[in-house]
Amino acid sequence: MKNFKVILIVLFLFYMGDRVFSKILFSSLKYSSLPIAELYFGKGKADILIIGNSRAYRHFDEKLLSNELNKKVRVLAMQGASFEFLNILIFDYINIYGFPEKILIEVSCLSSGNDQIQNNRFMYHKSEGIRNMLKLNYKRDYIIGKLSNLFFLNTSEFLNAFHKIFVNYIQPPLFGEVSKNEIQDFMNKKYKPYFLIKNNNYIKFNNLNEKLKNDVQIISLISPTSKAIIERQVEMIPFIKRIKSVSHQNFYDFSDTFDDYRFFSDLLHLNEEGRDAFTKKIISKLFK
Amino acid sequence: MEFTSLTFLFFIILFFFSYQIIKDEYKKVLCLVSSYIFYATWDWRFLFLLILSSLIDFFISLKIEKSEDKKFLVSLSVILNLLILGVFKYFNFFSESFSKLLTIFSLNYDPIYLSIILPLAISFYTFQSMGYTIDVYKGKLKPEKNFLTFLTFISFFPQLIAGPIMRGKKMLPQIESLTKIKAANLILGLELIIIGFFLKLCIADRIGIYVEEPFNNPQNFGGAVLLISSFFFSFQIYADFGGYSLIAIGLARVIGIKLIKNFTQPYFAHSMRSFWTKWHISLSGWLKDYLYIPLGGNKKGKLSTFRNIMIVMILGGLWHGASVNFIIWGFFHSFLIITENIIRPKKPFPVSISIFYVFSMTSLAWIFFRAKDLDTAYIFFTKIFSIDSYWLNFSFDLFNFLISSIFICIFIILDIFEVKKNKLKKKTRTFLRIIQITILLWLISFLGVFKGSNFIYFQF
Repeated sequence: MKNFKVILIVLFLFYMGDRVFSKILFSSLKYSSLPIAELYFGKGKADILIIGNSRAYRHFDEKLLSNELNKKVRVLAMQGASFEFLNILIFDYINIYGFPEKILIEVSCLSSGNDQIQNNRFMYHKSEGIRNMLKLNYKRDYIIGKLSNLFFLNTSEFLNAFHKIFVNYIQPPLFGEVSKNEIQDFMNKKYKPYFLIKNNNYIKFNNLNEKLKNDVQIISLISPTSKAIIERQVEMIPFIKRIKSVSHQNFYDFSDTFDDYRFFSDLLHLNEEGRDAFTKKIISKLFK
Repeated sequence: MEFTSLTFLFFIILFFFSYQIIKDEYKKVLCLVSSYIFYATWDWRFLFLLILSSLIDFFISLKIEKSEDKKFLVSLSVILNLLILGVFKYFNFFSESFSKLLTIFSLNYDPIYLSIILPLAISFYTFQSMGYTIDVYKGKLKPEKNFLTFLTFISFFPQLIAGPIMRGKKMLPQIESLTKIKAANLILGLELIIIGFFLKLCIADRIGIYVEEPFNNPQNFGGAVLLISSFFFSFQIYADFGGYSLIAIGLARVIGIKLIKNFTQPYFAHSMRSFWTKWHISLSGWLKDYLYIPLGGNKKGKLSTFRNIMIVMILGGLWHGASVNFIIWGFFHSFLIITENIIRPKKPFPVSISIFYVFSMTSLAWIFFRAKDLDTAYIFFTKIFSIDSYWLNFSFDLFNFLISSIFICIFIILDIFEVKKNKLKKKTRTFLRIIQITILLWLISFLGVFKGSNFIYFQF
């Protein structure tokens, strides 16, 4: 009997501490400067939202855009984020702050999977969309998280957000240039299509364009990719065709903007120099 | 089936549940069947090898009891076991080494390679099985007559994959007398399992990121980072292997089987010699009893003692894997132990200095153990010991580095608590144990790395 009392005490303490600590830790994110934390804690209002996966995260200089346009620009992009997930962020944004002036969508995220939902599960408390998507895609995580709320916070993105309580968030550029070997390796090996639209993403993209067409200006675009990718990819044409069909003429193809490899950190991502050049190009082409 | 996987969780719950409800006489059968299922989930083909190894030692040990020529039979067992190990683990290594040796004498020989993968746990169960037969030969143990008991002893799943390597004398009677799960054992077992999981998920796997990259590409890092990552590897391997051992001991303890402790705060050792009485105790004990002492131990003069230490440590290194790195690792340890034997200061060094010395030396030795080849180890050593402007180039992310460092501090505190807890009053001890387990559960839930990475020692 005494032994089982010990188990009960441990379980009770675990449960109480789990709830209290997870609440404290999660609440502390209101002081975080990470975009996703600011979005859900009332500090994420912007005139222009930029949405996408790593290619949006690395290709748009939020600070430069804000300064040049004299508007608040927010890059709400994440590495590997799918459009299905980003769609939740857009509607959560609208629910909290109302409609932004413009939404720029870097459409490569239509080919991304839903892995990022796992990494952002700590926003479970704040977003019904995230909660539902987690329940649907990662049932196991959802159940464990229900048992221990601390588990919801056990992600690198939460730690990143927590870190940004103490250190100000700066959108990090990529450095270095893509190497000749990397290009050669890519040209030699079998081509793995990158721009393949995932159906769930496409449906959400379509819905978003339809729902918001009268309220927000939605601009879809493909940011620059390296020459090597452009030369080898065959799926880009149908990819663009499908996106154009739902974009209400607001689609821009920047994929072949840079011929020079010096703008690229790897075959799919611009480096700091490329990011600056591309951001300036966007300003002149889309906003002036 | 990984200990850290959800499948294992279902497996173990089902096992404990079935164990509790079936009659005592069937518990052994359940243990055996579960062990074979557990092993077969890794690779069912090697199950036959495990059974073969068990059969060899079961029948030879029975023969030894009645035979006049006991020496021949024990030699036969040792040869057959080493043959299994030799073919599956060392053949390619020796074939290649032989070819390299011949090139020194300008002879050409194309090494023959066997395209076989290393059977999981082979080093552990062959040593356990071989140790049993030697014990029977020495008369320390009566041969086990019950075939089922013996098979369970060799394949008992909590300790099958990476030990602790058990002795028949301690293990066989426990398998014979399996009874229902007792509450006290359940609590102690669960406590050990939780500590083990904490060591694995929060320490070994979290600090692993500071080990992986520097050991894969040491040329990209400065000396300071390489030195830190070698220190981190010391903690990683201890947390990983120590964590596994605690989980194994805990699982066995739930059903009342007491496995031996494999680690007793090795990094608090004051000398290299004492380090080896605290690190991987079941293997070092095995090597001492079945190799060092039969070689003459320390009874035949200094030179012979040094030779024996060297043989034991080098073979101990080779036991871990067929690679020159492991041989050098073993040799390095034997060199340190022998040096300690030769140079004995009249006044012992302060404890803190001795502990720092042992930790530093073992960390340097681990470089050979962890590096994928000798070239990598060479880059490590040259970069650590050649201090230049790049030496201090610190390329780790500070925030995550800080978290990992905090975990290492918790790890050290856990070890200190383990040493001190027996001196506390029972009430205080129980209170602190409850607090300890609760905190560890929070930490596992919040910061455990659930990526299903393998335990390091599973490869041996």
